[in-house]
Amino acid sequence: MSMIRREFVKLFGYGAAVSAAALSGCAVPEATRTKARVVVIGGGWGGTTAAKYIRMWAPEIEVTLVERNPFFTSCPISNWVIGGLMSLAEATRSYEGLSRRHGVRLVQDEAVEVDPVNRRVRLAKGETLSYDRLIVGPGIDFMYETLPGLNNAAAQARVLHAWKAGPQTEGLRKQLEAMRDGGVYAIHIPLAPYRCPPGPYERATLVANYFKKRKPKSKVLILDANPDIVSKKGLFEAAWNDLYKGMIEYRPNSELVDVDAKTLTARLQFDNVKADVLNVSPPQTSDRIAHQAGLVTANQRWCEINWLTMESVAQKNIHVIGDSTLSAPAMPKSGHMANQHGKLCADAVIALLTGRPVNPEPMIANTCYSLVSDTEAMHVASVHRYDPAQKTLVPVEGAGGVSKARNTLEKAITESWSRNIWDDMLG
Amino acid sequence: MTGAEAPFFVSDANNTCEKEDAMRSAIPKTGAWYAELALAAAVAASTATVAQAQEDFQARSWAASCAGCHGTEGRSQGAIPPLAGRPKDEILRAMLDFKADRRSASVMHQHAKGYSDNQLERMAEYFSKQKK
Repeated sequence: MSMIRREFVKLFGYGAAVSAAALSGCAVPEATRTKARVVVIGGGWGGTTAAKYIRMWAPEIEVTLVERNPFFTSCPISNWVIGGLMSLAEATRSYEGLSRRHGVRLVQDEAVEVDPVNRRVRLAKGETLSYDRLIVGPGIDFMYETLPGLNNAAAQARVLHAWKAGPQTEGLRKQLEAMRDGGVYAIHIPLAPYRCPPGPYERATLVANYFKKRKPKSKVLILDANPDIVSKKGLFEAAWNDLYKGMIEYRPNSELVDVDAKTLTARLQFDNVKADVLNVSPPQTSDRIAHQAGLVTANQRWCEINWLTMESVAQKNIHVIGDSTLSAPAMPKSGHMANQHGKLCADAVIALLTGRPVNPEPMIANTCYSLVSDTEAMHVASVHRYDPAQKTLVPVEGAGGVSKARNTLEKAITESWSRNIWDDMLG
Repeated sequence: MTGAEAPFFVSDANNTCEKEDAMRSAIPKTGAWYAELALAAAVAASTATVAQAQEDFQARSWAASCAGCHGTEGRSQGAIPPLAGRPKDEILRAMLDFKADRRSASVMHQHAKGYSDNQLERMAEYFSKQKK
């Protein structure tokens, strides 16, 4: 039996043995049509990557990408804009390359309803898309209902999150530019898991960098709901101590109870903190389309998936990628990771649609760069493999790690990384 | 650390059906199916040199995990070196040196240690064949 399987596996180009589970009994094969159709909801780090790679690896499959925004703005690197080191235009890209170079059908619209039974997606402007496989990379939404004072449009226009790039990024930058010298910029970090573990610490650091140059009497206050710095702790602390002494105050265990948007006051459990610029991310959850489609299964926030295929455990033929997934062990919610998810998903979806076995040994990796001054950056990296016993992706022991110290080479690497990965997603 | 929340349960049901269907549709349902399969394998093996580059989907998928930094198919702009079209031995030697800490790096040792030598060899082969 094992000899037969080996021969079979050789035909399909896999070096590893196929799992026994794959040959157990099952149901009716999928109906075939002339051309398989994949719909992707979300033109973010995951969705764009999945769309491009399906077209690149299997041009016989039709792919439609639905995205509400007319162009792509990168949230990773957007802290550089908030810190005054870069314009938002430099972190903005067109989606056109996906259609021109890869034949993805681009639809600028919003998905309002997924019908998992009939395999259809209804869009806000009225069109309905049919799919054989649906890939949902919708990103995050904010649980404003947990902060009553912030649960209205006026308050949200005044107390920004800037955790989705675009107008919020420029809005926060403008607030900082308008702030008086001697003022306080307070950033609240919700309890993990949240989008981009090192992101808020990088933002605090780059704002301090801006203050040091232009408003040296000003202060940065980090109100962290978490019990400690969640990512690159030693490296951030070293930067704060070496470069911004006395400018950054870090307060852990500072869960936000409410916000007074008029007075820019953060209400903590035992304290009220007033700021001149208040920057808050409420606790995060999957975007609403994931909730509507019945994909959210964990803590009413995140979507559990099969890590070999990214297919939802709750809805057949629907795959979930990026921040809205229930993270695997030690897996960050990062743009880089969503880009990796997109490729894992693309490969699996192609396999499922074209009748070849799904890769039983997926490998994905993450490298996340943080800038901490005009010239120095540092990283955290990890590599993840599939563990059949735990049925999930786990970090490879002995791999991964952080920079020994912040350094100038890694700033150049970060710039190179951003060009390469944006092209990998959109070009 | 961010990580997963509570005990993690994943149903295998969704994956099993498609995989099994895919395999079923490829296996002829006759008594001599093993003989047919062996014959097909022999044919495939004889054209393996030509077919292997196209059929190593697994290496292609592993190599895709490098593209976030090194660019699609290893075509890079800027400070990060390209991989596309470089000699297989050169890429493999570099990765094995990173993995064994024989060569210093900012991050590559941390990635190289995540893959087996066999994986690294097949990934190096894949990149060597990509257009620059």
